[in-house]
Amino acid sequence: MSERVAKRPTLFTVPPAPSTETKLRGARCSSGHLFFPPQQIGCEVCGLYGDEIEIIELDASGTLQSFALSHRQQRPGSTAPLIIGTVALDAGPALEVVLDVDDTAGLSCGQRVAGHLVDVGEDESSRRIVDCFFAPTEPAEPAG
Amino acid sequence: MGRTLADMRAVSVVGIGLHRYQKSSKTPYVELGLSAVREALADAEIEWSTVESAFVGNAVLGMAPGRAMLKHLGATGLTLCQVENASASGSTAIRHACLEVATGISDVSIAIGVDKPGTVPISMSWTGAERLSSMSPLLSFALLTNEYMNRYGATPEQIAAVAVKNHGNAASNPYAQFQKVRSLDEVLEHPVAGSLTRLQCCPFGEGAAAVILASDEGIERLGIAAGRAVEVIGSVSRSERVYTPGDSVIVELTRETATQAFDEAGVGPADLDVVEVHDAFSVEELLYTEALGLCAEGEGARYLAEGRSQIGGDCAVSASGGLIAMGHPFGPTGVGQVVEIARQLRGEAGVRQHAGARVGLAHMVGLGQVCLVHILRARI
Ligand SMILES: [Zn+2]
Repeated sequence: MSERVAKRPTLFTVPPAPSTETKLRGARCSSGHLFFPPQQIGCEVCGLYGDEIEIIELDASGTLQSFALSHRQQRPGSTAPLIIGTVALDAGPALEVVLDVDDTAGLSCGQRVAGHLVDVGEDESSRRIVDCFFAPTEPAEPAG
Repeated sequence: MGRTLADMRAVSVVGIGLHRYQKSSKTPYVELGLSAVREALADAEIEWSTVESAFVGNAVLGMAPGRAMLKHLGATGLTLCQVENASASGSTAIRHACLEVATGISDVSIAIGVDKPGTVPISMSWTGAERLSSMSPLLSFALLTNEYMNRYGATPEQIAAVAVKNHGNAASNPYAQFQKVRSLDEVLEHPVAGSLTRLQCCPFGEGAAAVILASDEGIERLGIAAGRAVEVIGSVSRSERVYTPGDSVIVELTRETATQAFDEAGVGPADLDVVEVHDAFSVEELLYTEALGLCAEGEGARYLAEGRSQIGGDCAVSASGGLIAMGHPFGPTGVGQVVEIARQLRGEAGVRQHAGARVGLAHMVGLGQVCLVHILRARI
């Protein structure tokens, strides 16, 4: 297995292959505000910055708030169709994600989901690029 | 807290003009803008030389489009400022023209919106911050639509009904980009993302809009017909705070901006006769009729289904056709909303007229996120 590199290195961890487990990198201000994506240039709640903000790891697990099959790409150059979702992380923040599923039939709002690493290509140094996509960890609620 | 519009001298819309919103064409923006400005001057029956300041709202034209356009009216040396605030650029131009007049700096000021789809990038994507999955507004609204249906038990057909109403209104608006009545079946065709379909998403075209604002002193001095003037009684501009995770930013931001505007204007949701909202995507109209207090949370679909937001209902929402059908050329959009409201409050909206309209509200949000709310009232 070749070396792996994160598509967005500041946002999630990449353990040695072949594990697909990942943790998100978030941040906590000394004011208590916990947020994602991480940064130390200034807290949106209180304005503290630098060492007052700690970069922390967040479990990439949460609840699916919404999902949709999109026939349009996220941005020029990305793929479509794709399935996207809004996830309320157990740690607090809510984020929009790509769902690593074939169709929406197995999805329902309120379902438990988690992030995992997905191979999305290769960089110039022949390293595998991995991204963090989400998928259900339990069956969908029966419809209706 | 400083002063609000309510503490300053009266400011009124005295002239309105539009260039039709349309698909991107070879027509230079200069011609689009001049056409709207000349129509507004003719409407107010005043000369360009009497206009003391101009605020030009544009989001995608790039640097300094104002003077290259306005010089063709006679380069009077007036105060000139370009205003960029994403989709709310035009609304922000309106606000600054209002303040220019209300504070007593100008007796006559003009807010102009003009844009053509261009290649100007979005600076907020250059902050240096990585995003896990940066979604276009379309994809974010597809997610919000599904969340709304799940939370309140609304159906795709109930949400699509927003587009049926707004395409219907735009069909009799000569300035609208789309002027065709659409059936529910037609609106439900061509899925784009989630339950959003092509006709439930606004077009991004080109166009222009102009609104001339004047003080009572200006109205009297220039002999402007005071009976057709429409007073601006509230102007509020706010930006996103940190909300509870999972709450919709645009809903919370709209609610707090509208609340402040109602306080300033001394009116409430029940007083509103005509409302134009930022309905770039169909679900937004339902969210905003709730956030503005026209109906309770989760009741937006029923409010629409009962015909209460139709022209002739309780409060005509997007009588112009809204962003979905009149169009959303960025800079002109917020100015065009005020044009429609002024036309309605004057009783000059023809077949689109909402009978007895006295009080109107214009609402825009812009990427970032910012929110602008203006409240207007007929003077006679
Ligand atoms: Zn803080």
